Amino acid sequence: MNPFVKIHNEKWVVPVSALSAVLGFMMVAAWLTDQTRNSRYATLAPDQRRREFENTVDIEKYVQLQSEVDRLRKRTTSLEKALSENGKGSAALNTQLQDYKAYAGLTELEGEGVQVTLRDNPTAGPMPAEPDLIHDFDLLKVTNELFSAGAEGISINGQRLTTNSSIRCAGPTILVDGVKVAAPFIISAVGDSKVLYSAFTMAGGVMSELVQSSPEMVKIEKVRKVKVPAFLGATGFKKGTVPKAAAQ
Amino acid sequence: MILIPVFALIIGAIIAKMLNLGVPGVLGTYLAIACIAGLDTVLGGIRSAYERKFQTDIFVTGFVANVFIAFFIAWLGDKIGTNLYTVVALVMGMRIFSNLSVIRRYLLQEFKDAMTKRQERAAERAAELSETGQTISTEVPEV
Repeated sequence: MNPFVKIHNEKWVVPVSALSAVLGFMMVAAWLTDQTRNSRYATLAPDQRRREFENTVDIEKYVQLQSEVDRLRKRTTSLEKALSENGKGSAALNTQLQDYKAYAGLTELEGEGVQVTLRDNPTAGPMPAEPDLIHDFDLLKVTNELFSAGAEGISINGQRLTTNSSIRCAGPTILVDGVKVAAPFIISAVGDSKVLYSAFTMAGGVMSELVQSSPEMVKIEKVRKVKVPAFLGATGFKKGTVPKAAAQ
Repeated sequence: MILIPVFALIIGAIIAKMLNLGVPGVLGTYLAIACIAGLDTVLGGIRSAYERKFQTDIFVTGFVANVFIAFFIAWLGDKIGTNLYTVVALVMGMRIFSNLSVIRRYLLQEFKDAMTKRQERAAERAAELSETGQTISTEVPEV
């Protein structure tokens, strides 16, 4: 016997059920899905949004990495095939070599991106305080932020950054890979300009730190086509050798 | 009877799922708040049905008004830079709990009534059985 059948006045059933269906409809419409997740997070408070971004697994990126693995496996096969046929081998090896060179920063790179201009505070007067000047760590923070936002190639005043690049100060000047660079610092980055721009300007991010003393110290603009030059320094190894097992 | 709205909820959800709906951006956030208001109203409808004072017009206007007011407060909060949607979530959440507690009491009472009725019926049947048993037992030695 069903204990739930005892409401005598039953005119409520139809309207309650109807609006209950509407409610279910609304709930699913408001549900966070892969398509709506990103645009919904945009409405959160900046600090909350940053925490969300830090903690979410980026499904898109995961899928992208999977397809990358797939693509590389296929390429390995094609290379092996080419090697076995020997005639086409050198051409296939060459395209792969070019890709690696581009990745290492030994070739020019162009595409959409952003251009960040850093300059010392122009309103600071003759005795600028510490936060009125652009320091080596400011450049480090900016380039680090751009790389973490997915920049594929970065140059500072026409000097390409590579995996071995260093940025440090030597007295009043800044050295990038041992070469002096001076203000204004123009940092060009190739990558998804929208992502780079929003990562850089995010509240609590690098930009908000830099603009504290003067908003004129930092400028960022999206560029449809930006070109970063090739790395021109010395490559090669003096002490390191590649172990045989890794080279095979 | 009380399961019918639950099924209706699931049916509505399935329809929205099949249409592959997804409200993006800030509207989705407002809609989520409106959902809480709607849930409260539906539970309030069930509660008033138990209290024998359900009125269709009050219920329907209450649902629409609550949903839109929740939507509006969330929107207004964004416009004036305050998290007003927490106010809606808090008030509606409290009302959901109070509605549910009343409904739970009625359900529990019905369940208890049904159990005592069943026991009474079982006792009656046992009494009938024992009576017929007695008549049989009295008849058997005669035959």
